[in-house]
Amino acid sequence: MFEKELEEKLKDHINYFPRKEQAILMCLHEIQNHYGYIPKESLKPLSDMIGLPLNHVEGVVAFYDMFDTESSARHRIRVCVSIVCHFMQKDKLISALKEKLGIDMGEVTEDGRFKLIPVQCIGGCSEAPLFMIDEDTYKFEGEEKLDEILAKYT
Amino acid sequence: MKYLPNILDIKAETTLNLLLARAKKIKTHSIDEYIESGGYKTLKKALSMDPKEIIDWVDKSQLRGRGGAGFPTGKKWQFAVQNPPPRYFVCNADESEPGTFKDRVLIERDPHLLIEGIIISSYAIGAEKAFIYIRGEYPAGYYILRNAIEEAKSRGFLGNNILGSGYSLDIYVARGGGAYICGEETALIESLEGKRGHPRLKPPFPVQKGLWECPTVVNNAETICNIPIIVEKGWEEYRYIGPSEYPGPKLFPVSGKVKKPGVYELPMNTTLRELIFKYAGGTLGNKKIKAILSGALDCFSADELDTPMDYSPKGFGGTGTVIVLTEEDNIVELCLKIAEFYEHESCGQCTPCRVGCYEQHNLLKKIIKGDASEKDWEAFVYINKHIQPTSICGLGAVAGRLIRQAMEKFPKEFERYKPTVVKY
Repeated sequence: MFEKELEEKLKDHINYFPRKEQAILMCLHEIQNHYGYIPKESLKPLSDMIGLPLNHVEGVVAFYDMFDTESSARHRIRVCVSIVCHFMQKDKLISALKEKLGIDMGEVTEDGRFKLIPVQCIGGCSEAPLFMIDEDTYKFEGEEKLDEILAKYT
Repeated sequence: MKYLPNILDIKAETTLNLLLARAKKIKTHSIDEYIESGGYKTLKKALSMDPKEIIDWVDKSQLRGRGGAGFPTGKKWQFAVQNPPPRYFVCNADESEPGTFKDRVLIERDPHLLIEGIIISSYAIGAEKAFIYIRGEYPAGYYILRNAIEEAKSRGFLGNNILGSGYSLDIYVARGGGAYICGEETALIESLEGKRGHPRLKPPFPVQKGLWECPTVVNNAETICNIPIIVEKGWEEYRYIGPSEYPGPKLFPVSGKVKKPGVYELPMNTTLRELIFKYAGGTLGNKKIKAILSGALDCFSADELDTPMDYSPKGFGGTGTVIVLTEEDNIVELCLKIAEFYEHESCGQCTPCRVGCYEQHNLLKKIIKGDASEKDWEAFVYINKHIQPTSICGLGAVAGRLIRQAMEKFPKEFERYKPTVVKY
């Protein structure tokens, strides 16, 4: 079962919608925010709460890109590698991040602080190149500014 | 609001002051600010009208869907109300087309315009439940909408017996999980039902069998923001905004190699040239334009700058997205990014799209490395052509389109990757 605090949040999502199963993506976001990823063991209790078969829940988790069952990280950095950012020097942003964190795309820093994830368009292309840390969206304004931003996430 | 994630200061300019009347300012407008500037007055007017009359006005306004397909909104509503209730209204805020960030500006800065539009639309089609499906990558928009809905409820604009009219409506906000395909209306409905976002075969269309097999209208967020404007001004006056065949304000998100990227609200008789040079300040470093993309859909060359930004057969169409590339940008590299995008976003349900997008990307990788044989080239051209007619949904239908257009419009760019010696 889930810890009390998380369980309450999940219940809120489930009670919010006209039908319970509609809350599945909301619950998965909530679980990922809580644990830093989606532990496989969390899927059975979730399927019980929502009233969907476990294989349905597993199928949903696998389908949607934002959900990660692989590796835990306290913060997820999503870097846009799509068309506009690509032509607006996304490589500078990516190499700065790789160098500062000492990891490659798809990897987690040794201290479990950050995971670096390539994503398709984030939808703020006038400010490209873009990246998100957890729920925050940022544009790349040079390495100094990048240091300041990263320092906010411990 | 207690907590709001960091959002971007996207530049927004308007010559019309309709959709961006408030949203041109970089801030989230509260319900008080919205009401002060005349907001929710139109809702009162709408609730005093017969729902059929509102549908008639929207039809006569000639409003077309702003989500890409350009389908007449009034017609969609007319189809929906031919089918028995319960009916549902869904706002498609899953804006995920590369280069598109127009709905985001409306949602983050003027959420009550969208909510007023949803209430009027739902009233018109007789829906008592409405849903906003917002893409997973817009968490701030999600919190802003949840908060705005509570604000609207507390003032009696939502919930039971709205403004004493006897009409009741609840709006629910659902977040996506990072799947481009969920912008396709039937995939969106599947996702809203708590499933994988696999598109359905059409027909039946959502207006016949949508959410939980009930008649459902799915409209784009920008489209919905036009509704209060039509009801406030009346359809005759709305028709005077812009060209008579394609009336109404349109948002154009401009990005890439321009001096002033941002969202521009303009009438649709604007040309691509005017949009880029008059409004977006021309190209970075005054370089020559090579190509203009409407997201991952169409590719225009510098010879096509006089294209009108409307929904005519020769118009720019789509979501209004403009991505500008200049002389130093490589078209084949662009095609590789497009192929990568479609491979990544194919939902995997039907084979032509799942395998086709994968092979298209693989062969293009080979081509750009200079490793492609003549046979690879043949296979590439063949696959590119055949994803479209055999796929279930619109994603497969366009997965080869931009690349094919690029090959036709920029043959020389591809020429240098072709093998000089035929390898067997």
